[in-house]
Amino acid sequence: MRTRHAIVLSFSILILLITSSPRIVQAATLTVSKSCGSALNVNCFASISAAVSAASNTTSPSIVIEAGTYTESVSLTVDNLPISGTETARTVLQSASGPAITANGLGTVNISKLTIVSTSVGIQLTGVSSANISNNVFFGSGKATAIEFQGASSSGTISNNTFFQNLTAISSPPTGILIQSNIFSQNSTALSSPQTTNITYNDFDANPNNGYTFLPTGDTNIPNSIVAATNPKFVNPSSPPPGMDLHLQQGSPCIGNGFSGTDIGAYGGAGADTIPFIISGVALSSPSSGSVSVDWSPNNAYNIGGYNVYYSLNRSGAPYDSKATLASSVTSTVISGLSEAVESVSAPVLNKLGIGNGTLFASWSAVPAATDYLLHYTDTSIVSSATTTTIHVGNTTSYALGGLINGHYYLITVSALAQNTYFFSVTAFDSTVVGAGGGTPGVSHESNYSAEQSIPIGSTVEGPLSNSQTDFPETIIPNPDLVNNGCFIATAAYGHYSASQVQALREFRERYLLTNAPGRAFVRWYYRVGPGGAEFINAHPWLKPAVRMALMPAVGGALFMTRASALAKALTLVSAGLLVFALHARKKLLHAGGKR
Amino acid sequence: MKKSILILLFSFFPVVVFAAGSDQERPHWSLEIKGGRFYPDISNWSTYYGKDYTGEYAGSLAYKITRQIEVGIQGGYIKDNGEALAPLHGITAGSVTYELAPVNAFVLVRGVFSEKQLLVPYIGGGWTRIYYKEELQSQSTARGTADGYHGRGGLQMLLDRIDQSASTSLYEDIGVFHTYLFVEVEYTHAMANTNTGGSVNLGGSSWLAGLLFEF
Repeated sequence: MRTRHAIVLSFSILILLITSSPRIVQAATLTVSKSCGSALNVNCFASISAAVSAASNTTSPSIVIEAGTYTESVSLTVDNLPISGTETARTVLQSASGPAITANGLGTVNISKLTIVSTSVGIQLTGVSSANISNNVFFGSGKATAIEFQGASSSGTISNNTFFQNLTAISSPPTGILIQSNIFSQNSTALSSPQTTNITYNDFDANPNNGYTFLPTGDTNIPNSIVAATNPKFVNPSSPPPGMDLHLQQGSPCIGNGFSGTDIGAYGGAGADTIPFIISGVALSSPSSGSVSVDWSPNNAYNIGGYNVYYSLNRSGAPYDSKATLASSVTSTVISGLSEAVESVSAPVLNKLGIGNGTLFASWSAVPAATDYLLHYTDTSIVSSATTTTIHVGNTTSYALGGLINGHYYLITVSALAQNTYFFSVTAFDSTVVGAGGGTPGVSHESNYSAEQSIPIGSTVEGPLSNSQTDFPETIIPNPDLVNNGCFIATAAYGHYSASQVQALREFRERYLLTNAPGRAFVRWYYRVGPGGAEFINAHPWLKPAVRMALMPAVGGALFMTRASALAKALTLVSAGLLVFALHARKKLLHAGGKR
Repeated sequence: MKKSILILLFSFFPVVVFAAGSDQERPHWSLEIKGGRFYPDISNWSTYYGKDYTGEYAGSLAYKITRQIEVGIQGGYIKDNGEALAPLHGITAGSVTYELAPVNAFVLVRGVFSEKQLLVPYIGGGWTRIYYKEELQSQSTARGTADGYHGRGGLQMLLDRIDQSASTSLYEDIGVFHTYLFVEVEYTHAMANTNTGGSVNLGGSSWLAGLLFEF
């Protein structure tokens, strides 16, 4: 026993040490993902703040954030910690209140490929020596300051960002900051109190206050002497993130007019992500036998090279069995030659039946490709006219077969219905991989898979019957088998369990019925028939006044018996006796020929 | 079990009621939040519910008549899911949801003689009403009440001495004089009628732990 205690104690201490010690992370890249959260995966974190905290124990750390919406305020406490999203448009950091990211007194801050949504401040940099902020989207609902500099800051670049609908895009950018290839669109103020003059290749569009004085000649910023139009022609600026798509449409002045001929904005420059915006609006129909029509909403980014339609038979999710590659001008296609014939359907395995009052509970194993199940049952107690009844129970693997007769034996089997189902998803790929038929979905040059859609085709086939199970339902009894204190019919008639009339009947039961054998027998009988009567009254509310009238003598009697004093009861009994005696005497007199 | 709890309750120290200075500033109310295990006093409970106990959660509010004596009310909740008996099959079957909501009115005597006393034993008891609900899936639901009594006793440990600054903040911010961690045992007795014509004690024994705030 002592040895066992020692082992348990040692193990407990070990667990305590493991769980209470800070996690020492050796890997340089820390991943943030909505699917993380397990303490066992030391490199994966459910929040950016958790990853930043872990970065302090890591050699040369960097943080990669997978697509998702993260609601938090991140405080950067580690110097020179690159933070980068995998897909700008769908890697959303939003702050419920206060700045989304703050850094105070750090040497270098690197933030890229995020969509930062804020109503106060997007990134607040205080006393940071060098800031490199690139390929981000800042959306401030007209209220936020996207980037706010406080205190001294000597160097860095703010390049290829898109500042859309902020109160102020960049506040007090210091002298050493390069502001290059950014889109400033529909901000109240683009640059507030800029100390730097190193402002090049930016697009200033529809900002009431640009905070920048354009050079008379040779200005690289838009508008300039060559490019007059400023509207960046975003694909879909009206939806809030993550549905907002600020990629550029054909004809945008920001295409190729950035530094070194790159695009201006969050999706331009060497560091931009290469993943097109996800496809939406996928719809399926089956126009003819063995074919499925697939429609989707177009991706209107100027650099889309085409679409891939992925599909699988009877299997959901990637990787898919097949794909069809289509040109960028196409937003619908018909996939033909699909198989309608179900190859094979196996029989489910029916488990032992569960017992209930007038109910048998059936459960069975799932069958691959099954779309629905049929449950067949026969009352084998009725030998002369036993018929099998079939119920279409839907796509479930359990069913409560009710309405049965207690004590009757029922034979139950189950069969599966199967129909071929095709699962579809659509992606968009950019023009650089047209020859290769696309890139890698969600990784490079090809969008993530769209929300999957499915469609059944062909006829439904019923598979073989399962094994049979036979049993009978019966009334089951809980432990303890407690009395229902509610008078079913009176409760239904008076509307509430605590009505004074119901309470009177309940008291009468407690004091005058449950205290003797005949009374208990009556209560047992009433508990069998009462619920049915109450159900009928509840189903026909117009009956309630009549039932209340009918119950009046019973309620009155119960009130008298439970509330009246012993003397009153005795007097009433004597009075009743005298009345009976008098009536009897009068009848006798009349019978003897007396007058009235 | 019941006997041991009763012996524990009534073998507590004799409490001196007029010990601490009544003229000093002292708390007048106490609030308890607690949870633990409830061992029903119902035969064969584990056959139908899988184990011989279930969870219990409760809270109470009491007024301190003196530093040692308080009166209050307590509300709790107990729930378990189990099976019923299929008598002809001779097996357990179906699904039963069993819920109790005990409401207690109590008097409590605490052995507190100093505001800095680390361990405070206490004992109390009073009237109990248990609201019950027993739901038999696809069959019926029984609801009702049962009246009875309860007794409880335990030991409170003053947490203020562990973190004096937190204690001071609690007092300054929200007026909490003291915070205690406590463990207690409780026995409840409330008979309810059964459909077989008998009766059953819906109460039982509880082991509870929780926090007590005096304010």
